[in-house]
Amino acid sequence: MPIETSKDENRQREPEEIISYPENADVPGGHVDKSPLPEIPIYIQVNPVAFKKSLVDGRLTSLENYQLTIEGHRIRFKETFESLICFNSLKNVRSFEFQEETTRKILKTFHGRALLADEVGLGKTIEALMVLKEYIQRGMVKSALILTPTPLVSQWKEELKVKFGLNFPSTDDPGYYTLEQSFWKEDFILASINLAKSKKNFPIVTQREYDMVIVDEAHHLKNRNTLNWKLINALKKRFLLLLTATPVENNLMELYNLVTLLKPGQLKTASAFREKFMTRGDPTDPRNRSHLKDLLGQVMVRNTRAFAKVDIPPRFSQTIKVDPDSLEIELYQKITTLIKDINETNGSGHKLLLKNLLAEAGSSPRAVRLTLSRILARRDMLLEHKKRLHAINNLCRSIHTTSKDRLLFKLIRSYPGKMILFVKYHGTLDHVSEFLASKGISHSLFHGKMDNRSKDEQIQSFKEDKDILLTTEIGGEGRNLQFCHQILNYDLPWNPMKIEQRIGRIHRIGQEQEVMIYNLCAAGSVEDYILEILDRKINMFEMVIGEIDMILGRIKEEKDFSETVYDIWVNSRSEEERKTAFGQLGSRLMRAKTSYQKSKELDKKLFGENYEL
Amino acid sequence: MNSESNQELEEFACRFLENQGAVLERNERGFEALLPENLSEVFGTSEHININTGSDPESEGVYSINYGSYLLEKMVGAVWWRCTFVGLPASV
Repeated sequence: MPIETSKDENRQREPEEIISYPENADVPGGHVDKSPLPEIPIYIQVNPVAFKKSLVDGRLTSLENYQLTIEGHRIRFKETFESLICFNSLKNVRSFEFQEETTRKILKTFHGRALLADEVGLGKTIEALMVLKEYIQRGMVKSALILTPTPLVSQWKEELKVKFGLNFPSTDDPGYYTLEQSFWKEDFILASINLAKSKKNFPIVTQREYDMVIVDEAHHLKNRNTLNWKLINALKKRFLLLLTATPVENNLMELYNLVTLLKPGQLKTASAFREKFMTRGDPTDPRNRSHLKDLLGQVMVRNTRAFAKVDIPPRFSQTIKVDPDSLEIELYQKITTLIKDINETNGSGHKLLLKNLLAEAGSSPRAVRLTLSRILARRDMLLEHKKRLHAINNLCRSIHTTSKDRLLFKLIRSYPGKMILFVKYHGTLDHVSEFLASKGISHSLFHGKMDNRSKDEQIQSFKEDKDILLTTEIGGEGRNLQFCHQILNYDLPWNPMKIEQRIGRIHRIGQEQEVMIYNLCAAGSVEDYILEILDRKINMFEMVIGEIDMILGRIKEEKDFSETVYDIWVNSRSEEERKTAFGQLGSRLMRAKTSYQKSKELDKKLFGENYEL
Repeated sequence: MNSESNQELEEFACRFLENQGAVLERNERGFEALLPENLSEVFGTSEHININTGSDPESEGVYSINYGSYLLEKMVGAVWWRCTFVGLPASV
């Protein structure tokens, strides 16, 4: 590398001093990139006087000292946060420039206390977790608490694990209720905010210290008289990230309350804030906008889709209700009746198993059969119902091609091109695979029991040769499937976040075509009711990425959505009662959606594009 | 949840201290260090210190090694200014 020595450090640099690399240079250990490399100017300036003096004096250092010096410089460089060290350890994350810049800004400028208010779908979670990971890797965070609305705990758990290699114990873990108080003593915790603020847990959670606290859907902290606000205020924390796409929902004081959690005094006292920034008669219209903008700009980042240049084509859906034949109706009724009977006598005993059985009944008889075989093979489970279980098992055996299969065949014929068929259970995967083979429809398979090499081969064959990819829930996690723009949900997860994950496999950055989602369900099934709410009432399938999180997060519900659905199903005493209960659930979601849309509009008006990087 | 990065810092600290003539002894929380007098003056600490590599907080005589931590800053500061020529044996 040429060394430029100069007496005058301010000398104008000449264009010919730019060093460029040969166009076809080999990259050691990597592929040969034939595209021209960008020209990177590199200058090394040496103080000639000091240079000569060192040589003349013969002041030489040892190799060990030299290496220590280099290491010291490297550490000092990392300390500046210019170079983020977390990137090398991230898996399945494709971060974008605006996300990386946001991470740097939070670390460097906001010193780890910030309101992350990106528009929906831009990856606030990724940004927050990059900040967390960076701190952890630098040894600056050795304990952290992540608080989210209950329905979002499982999603955070997965993001943490799959993308960031962080395995946080969570309030969703089966062991949570047995651990009791010791859970809250863990170094790293992912928890439902509702559980954290409960009368029993509040004192335990607020007693200890955390290096970092992250709160998702932080608009729930808008009111300082609520337990949510009091909890975050009482937590002993060093770094704090508040995540929300809608920091103001009804009143500018909500913003004041959020900012005060982050940086007490930033917006002075409540009455001073009111006096200076609020307009009498319209609590959403700020005065002294430019001053407010300056103050908010010191604690808040809000990236917009326009700024981030994230433009994903819209998605559309079609739900197709199938009329099951008599055997299928009989099977579904038998399973429902059995579950209701057990529920009445046993209460919540075997709830997970029964819930699973009911979901399998909505998927395929093969899926039911696999579970029943396992139950029947055991001598300690549901003994008193053995006879009925055998009868259901026999009924499953007698059903070969289902009404959904027949419709699936028609759909594949009607909508040519690449299509991903999602199924929930391995039994259903085998069943549909055999059905497709019997119809001469060549397809790729992808499921969790495959090794990585087979998975790659199957994705490659889907990309190059086959039009159908049949896959289970985890289908394509981290793999690029945007070359396909059609999804068919052969069955339906009961948790809307899981449905969103399926859609998210192809409805993501990089998709160039409109996405089409087909949903199959049997009339009168649990899935039929779920689709009535999610598709027809709130139009979830055609939302922008991330909006369903906002809506679910707004429901004041401690239970997971799938739990709520199951409870309605087994506890309703009549068809009428069931319809009413599902109707009420739908209305709650509708109200949550309306509230979200209202806040979205208000925040757009308030913040515009003024708080980007 | 110890990270690679912590490991690197720990290695740097040990290497630096030994290079400066400190005596180190590992224990379950990290290591104990007996510093030469001049180094303890540079650090502004006593000659006998404990260095924590886990998540325990700092206390009197107990220091941690993290980005931005007091002791690491002192160590980096001590090597930061050095930038002379390396004398290598002819065989290198």
